[in-house]
Amino acid sequence: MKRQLGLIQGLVAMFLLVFVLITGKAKFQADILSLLPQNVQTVVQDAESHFFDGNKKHVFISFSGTNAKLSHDQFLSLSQNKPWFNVKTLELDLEKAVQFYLPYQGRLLADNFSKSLSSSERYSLFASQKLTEIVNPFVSASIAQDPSLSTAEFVEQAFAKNDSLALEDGRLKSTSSEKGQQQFIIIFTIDNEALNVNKAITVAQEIKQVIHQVETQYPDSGVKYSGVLFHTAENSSQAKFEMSFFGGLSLLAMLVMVYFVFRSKTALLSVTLTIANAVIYGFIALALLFDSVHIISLVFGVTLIGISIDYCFHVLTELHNKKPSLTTVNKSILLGFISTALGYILLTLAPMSFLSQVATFIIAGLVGAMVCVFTLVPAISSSKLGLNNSKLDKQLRYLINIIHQFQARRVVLLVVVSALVFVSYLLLPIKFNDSIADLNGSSATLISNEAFHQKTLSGKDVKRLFILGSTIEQVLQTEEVIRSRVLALSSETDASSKLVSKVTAQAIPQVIPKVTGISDWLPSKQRQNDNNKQLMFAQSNDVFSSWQEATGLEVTFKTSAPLTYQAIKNSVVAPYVLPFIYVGLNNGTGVDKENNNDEFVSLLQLSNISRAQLVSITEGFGGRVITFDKAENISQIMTESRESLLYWFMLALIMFSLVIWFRFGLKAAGNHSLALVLSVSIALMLSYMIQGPLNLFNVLAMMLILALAIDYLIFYQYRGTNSSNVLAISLSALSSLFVFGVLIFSKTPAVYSFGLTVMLGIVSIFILAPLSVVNKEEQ
Amino acid sequence: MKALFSFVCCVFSLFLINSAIAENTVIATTSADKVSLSVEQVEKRLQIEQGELYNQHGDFIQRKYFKVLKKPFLSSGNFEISNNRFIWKTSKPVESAIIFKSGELYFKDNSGSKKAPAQASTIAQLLQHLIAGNFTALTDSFAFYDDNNTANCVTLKPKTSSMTAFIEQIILCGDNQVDEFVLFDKNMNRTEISISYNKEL
Repeated sequence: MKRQLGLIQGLVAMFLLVFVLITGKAKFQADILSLLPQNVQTVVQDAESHFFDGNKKHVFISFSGTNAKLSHDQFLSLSQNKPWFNVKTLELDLEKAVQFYLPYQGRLLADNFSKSLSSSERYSLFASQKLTEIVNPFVSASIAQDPSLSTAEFVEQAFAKNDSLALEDGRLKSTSSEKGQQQFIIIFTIDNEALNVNKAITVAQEIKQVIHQVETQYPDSGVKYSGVLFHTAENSSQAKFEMSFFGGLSLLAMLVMVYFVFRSKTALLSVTLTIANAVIYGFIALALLFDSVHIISLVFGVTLIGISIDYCFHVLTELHNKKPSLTTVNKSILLGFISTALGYILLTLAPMSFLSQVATFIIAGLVGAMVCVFTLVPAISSSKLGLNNSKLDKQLRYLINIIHQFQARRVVLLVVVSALVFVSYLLLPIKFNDSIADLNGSSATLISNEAFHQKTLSGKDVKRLFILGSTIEQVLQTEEVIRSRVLALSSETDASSKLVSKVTAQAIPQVIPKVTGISDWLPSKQRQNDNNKQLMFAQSNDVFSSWQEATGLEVTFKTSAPLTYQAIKNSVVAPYVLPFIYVGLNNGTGVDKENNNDEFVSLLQLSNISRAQLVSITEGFGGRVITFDKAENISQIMTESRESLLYWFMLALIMFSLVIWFRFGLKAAGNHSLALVLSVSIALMLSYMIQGPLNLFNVLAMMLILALAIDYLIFYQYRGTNSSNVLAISLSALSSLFVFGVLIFSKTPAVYSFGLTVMLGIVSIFILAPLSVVNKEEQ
Repeated sequence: MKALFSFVCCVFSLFLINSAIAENTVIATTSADKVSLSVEQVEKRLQIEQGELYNQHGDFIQRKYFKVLKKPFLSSGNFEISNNRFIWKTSKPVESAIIFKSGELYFKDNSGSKKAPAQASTIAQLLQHLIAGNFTALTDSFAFYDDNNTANCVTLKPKTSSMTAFIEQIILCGDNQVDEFVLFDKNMNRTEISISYNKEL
C-alpha cells in the first residue's frame, strides 16, 4: 500500500515536472538588481522604476588611449550586424525646440539673461556676446521672432545642462575624461530577452569577443564594458557553476557516506529517491508560484539536500533496529518538519523577495522528502536492510559514551561554555556591515568598469533628489527653491575661485555646483509670471533701448498663456523631459491627467555638491524632498531587516520554548533554549572572528540554525541517546556540514556568510544538543 | 553646450556695430551643381600642403550677418595655432578667449576661466583644422566640393548630424594659406572670418 502510494505521488510529481518544463512556466533570471529590497512608499518605488528601469537594458563600452577613435570605429563596424546591437540615437533638432518655445517668449528667462536685465549696459553686453559667437543655432533660429534673445538663451541653457556626452563626428565623446585623454563611448540597448540567464551569458560572451578582436588590433587602446547584462552573465555563470559543483560535491560526499554506513544499495536508492523527490517538489512549487526563479534562490536552495536527507537517515537507522518502530520516528519527522518550515517561513520576513523563493523551495521540498520517507523508503528498505558494520558500531558506542560523559557533567560544561561566550562578547563586541556588495559575485574588473563609467557619465559628487508633490506646480516650485539654494552656493564658489585666482595669478577652472531637472525645460507658472513681470519692468526701464538703437530691432514681449506640462508632453522636447517626471495616478481613472488625486515625482540631479551642502540644500521640505541613494537606501533597509530579524529570532525562540515546555516540561524548555542561544552565539562569534564584520546573511543563517537545531533537540527528546538516533543525528549533522560547508567556497559574499555561520552553528548544536536534553530515562 | 557657441566677445561700445559695414557678397550654393573633391584636390586647389600651416599666429576679423540685421556684427582679435594648442582671442568689442590645449577646452571672459564641455571642442577643433588647412582631419565630418564662384575656394558640406545641427556649409578660400572662410547656418545666416598671418611662431 505504502509502495503504491509512493509510486503514485512520484508519478504525479514527474507529470507536474514535465508540465512546468513543457509549458515554459519555469523561467530563470539572474538580474542582481531584482534581489534588492523595494522601497516602502509605492509612489516612490514606481517613480524609481520609471526613472531607472530603462538603464537595465543599456550596455556601455568605452574606448580610451592613443587609438581610442579607431578602436571605437572598429567595435562599431564589428558589432553593426550583430542581433544584440541596437543603437537608438535621439535626433537633436534644435530648430524645432526653439520653435516650440517661441510662443512663450516673455515668460521664459535663463539665469544669465535674468542677470543681464539689471541695466541697459549689462544687457547690451550680454546680447552682443551672443551675436559674436561664431555659430549659435538658437540665436539664428529665434532672432527674427524674439530679438531680445531670451528664448534663444533659455533653450540653449536647457540643452547645455545635458552635457556629459558630446557628439563628435558621429561618435559619443566624454566630457569628463582625464586630462589629455580622449574617451569615446558606445551605448546600446539590448532586448529584455537578452537578460535571461542563458541568453545573457551568450550575448556577454559575444560582446567580449568583439572587444577582444578590437584590443588585438589596437593593443594601445583601453576598452571597458559595463551594464546589467554583464552582471547577469557573470552571476548566472557563477551561480550555475556553484549550484552544480556544490550540489554535486555534497551529493557525492553524502552518497559515499551512506554507502560507508549502510553498505547497501537499497539505502543508496532510498537516499537518492528522497533527495530527487524533494528537489522535484521544491522545483514544481517554485515554477508554479513565482513568475521567474532567481538563480541565487537555487544556490541557497542547495541546502534542501542536507535537510531532506536527515529524514531518510532517521527512517533508515530505525529500520535496521531489531524491532523497528517507525511511529516515533514519523512523529519526530513531522514535528521537525513543522519547526523547520516555521523557521523558513520566517525568512520571508526579510525584505529580499528571493528569500521567499528559498523558503518555498525548501518547505515544498521537505514535503516531498517526507512523503518519500513515509511511503517509498520503508517499502523498499524494510525487508532487505541489515546493518552489519562492526567498525561503525564501535565508533557509535564510543560517541554515545562521550555523550553520556558530557551529559554527566552537563551543568559544569554549560556554565563554562556560557561564561566563555559571555566573556568573548564582552571583549569582542560584534560589528555589522550591511552592504549591497554582499549580493554581488561579479568580478572586480566589472565592478571597477562600472564605477569608471558612472563617473564618466554622471560626474563627481552626484546627488539625486526625488521631489514629490500633489501637483506639477508644487514639484516645479520645490525644484526652483532648491535651484536657488544651489545658485547661492555657486556664487560662493565663484567668489572663492576668483579670490584664489587673484592670489595665485592663475586662471583656475571653476567646479560649480550644477542642477539639472525638468524645471530647466518647464518653469513653474509662478516663476513664469515673475519672469514676465521682470521683463516688463526691464522694458519700462529702457533696458533694451540701446540694443534696439544699435541693431534696428524692435524688442517686444507678448502676453501669452504660460507654458504647461500638457504642452511639453506632446512637444519635440518631451524626450528630454518625460524621463525625469513620474505621474502616479492614485484614482486609477485618469490617463495621464493632471487631476487632484495624482501624485507627481520628479528627479532632480545635483553635481559637485558635498554631503554637508546637500543637507542644507534639502532641509525644510519635510517628506517632499527625498535624497535618493540606492546603495545607501539598501544598506539602511538591510540594517533594519537585520535588526528586525533578531527580534523575530527571539520570538521564534520563545514560541519554541513554549511548545517544549508544554510537551516536555519547564526544565527541557530551559535547557533547549539555552542550547539554542549558545549555538547561535558561538556561530556568530566564530563567524565574526573568521569573516570580520557580519551582515544580514549571517543573521539569516541564525534562522536556519534554529530550524536545524530544533530538529536535533526534538529527536533527542523523543528518541533519547539510543544508537539509531545518535547515528541518524550524526549522519544528519555530517550531511549538513557537507552541504553548508561547501557554500563557504562561494564567490558571492552573501552565500559565503550564510554557509559559514550555518556550518559553525551545526557543529555547536551537534555538541550542545545532547547536553541540553533531559533523557527519556531521566523522565 | 552653452559654451559650444560662446566665442565670447562682449560689447562696450555698440557704435562698432554701426561702423561695421560690409557688402553681402557671398552666396551659399547648392551641391547639385558642384563637383566632389578629394583632400588632395582641395590641397592642390588652395596650394596648401598638409601640416605646413601649423605653428602660425595672426589676426582675424569676424563679420556676422543675420537676415534681420541691416548691418553685419563685427568683432576682431588674434589667434595662435600649433599641433596641440589653439588660442582664439577676441579683443574687440570686448576681450575674451577660447583656449584649446591637450584635448581640453577653456573659456576665459570677464567672469573668469572655466572648463568648457566637449561639444564646444567640436567647433574649436573645426576652427583649428580650417585655419591649419588640415583637410584630412575634416574628412570624417565634411565632404569637399568645387566652388564655382571662385577658383581659390572650396565648399565643405557637413556629413554628420552633429555638424548639420550647426552648419549648413562652409566656403573656404585661400592661396598658399587659408585667408577666409564663411560659415552658413541652417537659417542661412552667415559668419565671415578673414585671417591675416604674422610670421611663424
